[in-house]
Amino acid sequence: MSLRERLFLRRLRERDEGAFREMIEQYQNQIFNLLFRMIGNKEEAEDLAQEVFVTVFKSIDQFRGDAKLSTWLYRVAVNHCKNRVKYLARRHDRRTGVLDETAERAAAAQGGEPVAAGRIAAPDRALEGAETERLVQAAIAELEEDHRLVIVLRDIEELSYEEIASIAGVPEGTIKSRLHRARLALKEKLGKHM
Amino acid sequence: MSEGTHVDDDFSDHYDDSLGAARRAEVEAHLASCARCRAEYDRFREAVAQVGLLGRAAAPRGFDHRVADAIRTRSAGRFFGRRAFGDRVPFELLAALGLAALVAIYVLMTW
Repeated sequence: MSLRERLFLRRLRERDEGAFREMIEQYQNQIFNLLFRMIGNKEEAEDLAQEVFVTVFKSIDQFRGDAKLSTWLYRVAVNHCKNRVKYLARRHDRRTGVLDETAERAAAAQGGEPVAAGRIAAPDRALEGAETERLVQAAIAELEEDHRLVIVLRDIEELSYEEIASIAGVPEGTIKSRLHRARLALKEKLGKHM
Repeated sequence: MSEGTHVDDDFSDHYDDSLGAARRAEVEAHLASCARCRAEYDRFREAVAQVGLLGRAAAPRGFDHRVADAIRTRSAGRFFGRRAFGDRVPFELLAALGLAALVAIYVLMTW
């Protein structure tokens, strides 16, 4: 950890508001994106991202500085996300992961209802713009939770295997094999539309 | 490598360019000669590329302020409190005004 990072961490531990504002500004998009891609609903993702930063504010003393701050933030976000996914599953909230705002906008633009991955409103334009995004997001949402996580962290956030392993708390080899299976599953889900 | 030994297990490492040089050469040779694996790898690569094209969704506007509000509420105002003069007290301005007031008082008293 560099001197600058150590000084920044000290300010965070002293609950320096300016430092926290800097941290939120710097990492809000990464954390929000991870949660949005994992849950598939922007309102839920924002609510959860807010919880993540409040937790970080309260528990920054637990960060020992043996990993990058971003890694620790991702770890906190993943823990929150797993709890929220379980909660949503208990609530049987089937909207999450299938109907995000992009999907609703895309469907509205076509004058139709939002659809899930298996039903394509306009097959001839399935690979274009918002429709493609909706299909890909829906395919990601259908993956197992662990597979979804590695896909988002690797193929969207472009993190290294080492960092993903540190976030998920499993060996790098596990991440590599998990990513391979996740990508194969994604290929099968998207393959029928490509 | 025969056409019967397909290379699906190497797709992910090949995509990430993390195979060793010897294995990469074997996989590439196989992909060049096996139409089935080539087609499967093209589908694999296209699917992963589409995920990358999603890009990063940005946090909604005002998110940072809402986080600050949440911390202020939960800490009963101990942190991230609203300040009358914005983010910091303008000491320089207050000092200049105080000095001007002192000068004005001095001038009035000596006039």
